[in-house]
Amino acid sequence: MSDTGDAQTAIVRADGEVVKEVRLNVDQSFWVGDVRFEVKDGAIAFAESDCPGQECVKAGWLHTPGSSMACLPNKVSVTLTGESEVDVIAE
Amino acid sequence: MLAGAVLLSACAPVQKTSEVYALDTICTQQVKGTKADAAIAAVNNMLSRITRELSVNEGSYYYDINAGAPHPVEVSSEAAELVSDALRIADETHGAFNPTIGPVSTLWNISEDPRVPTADEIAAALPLINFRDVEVKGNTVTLQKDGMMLDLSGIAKGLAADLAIEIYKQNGIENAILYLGGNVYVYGDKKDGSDFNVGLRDPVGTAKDYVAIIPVRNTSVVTSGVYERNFESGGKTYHHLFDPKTGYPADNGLLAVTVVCENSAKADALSTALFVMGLEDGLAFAEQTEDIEAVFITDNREIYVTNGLEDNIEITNEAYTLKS
Repeated sequence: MSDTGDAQTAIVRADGEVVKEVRLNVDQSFWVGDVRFEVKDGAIAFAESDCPGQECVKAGWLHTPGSSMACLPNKVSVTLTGESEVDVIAE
Repeated sequence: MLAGAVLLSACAPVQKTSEVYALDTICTQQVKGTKADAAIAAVNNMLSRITRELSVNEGSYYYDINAGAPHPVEVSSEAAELVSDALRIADETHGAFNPTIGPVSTLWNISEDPRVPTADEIAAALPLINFRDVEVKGNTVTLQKDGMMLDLSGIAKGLAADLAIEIYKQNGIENAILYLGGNVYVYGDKKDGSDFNVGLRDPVGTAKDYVAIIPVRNTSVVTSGVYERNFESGGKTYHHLFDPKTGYPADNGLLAVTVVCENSAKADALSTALFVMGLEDGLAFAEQTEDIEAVFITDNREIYVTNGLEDNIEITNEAYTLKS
């Protein structure tokens, strides 16, 4: 599922509003409310969250264009843009 | 000329996206049309309303029906219709989809504070799981035994998707991708007239990858998988797809079942039902049901599909094998 190495962008939203767009070719770490994101090697993950279930953290590294993950209790989401062979993922 | 150009651009279809939290999950829309904004707003209003009306908290129809057992409770025509739809699918699936699973799902409490119930607790709850003990007359719903509880979580997102599509139609939307906490509806077709490519999530692992792609349009794609809403206890993972016969999560070698159907409520309910039925019975049921297609993914990484999908699915993860 690895791509050609072209940098993708991740769009981070809080309560539905875009709060950050990050290129995934620059390793970094940042907070959105009570959620800490980590970007590494072209992937992004919920590194820390104060939510009870930790579903977002358990989701691990996201690297597939078109994929998304949300921390429901914090209403913080990340969506990976970029060329994708899928328009949406049913899950 | 300038004014004309401005007018022209104002009438051109626009692509808009929205993300809100409703139905206890994340709900996103990608909508294209001249009235995309209006359609998105109307859908988001509808989602809030359905969330309120079907909430487990006081003040919802759902709460009233459950609290009212064993007495009749008057609800909205929409709520009564949803219960009727749920009962019809329960009947068609011989109870594999069961909207009266409430006493069991409440014991497990997977969304809030999960725990493995005792065998005695399960045994006490099972006699309350019988969809034939629900009566709908007009706008009145009766759970005929004290302690019965509806759980409509297996169909509510589907209902919401169907209502959303009506709103898109009313607003002349060209195309839309609706995503309600994993349930997908692709409305219309793409700009070039081609199908939407819907990825089916890899049920193994943690990252959100897909294992297969199905090209579809004007249809709902709903998956029930063991990776959604689960918890671990004593080294074992328990998921939310309960077998109404046992009161425990269905444990039959399936990891995920996807249903493709124009009616999203049906897709939603049947994805649970086929999962509970298991591979053999579920596949047979899906083949016999005219307006659906289905995909079954097993724990030995085999993918089984209904006849209509055999030439219309692309397996993108080589760890999985398409069987026929």
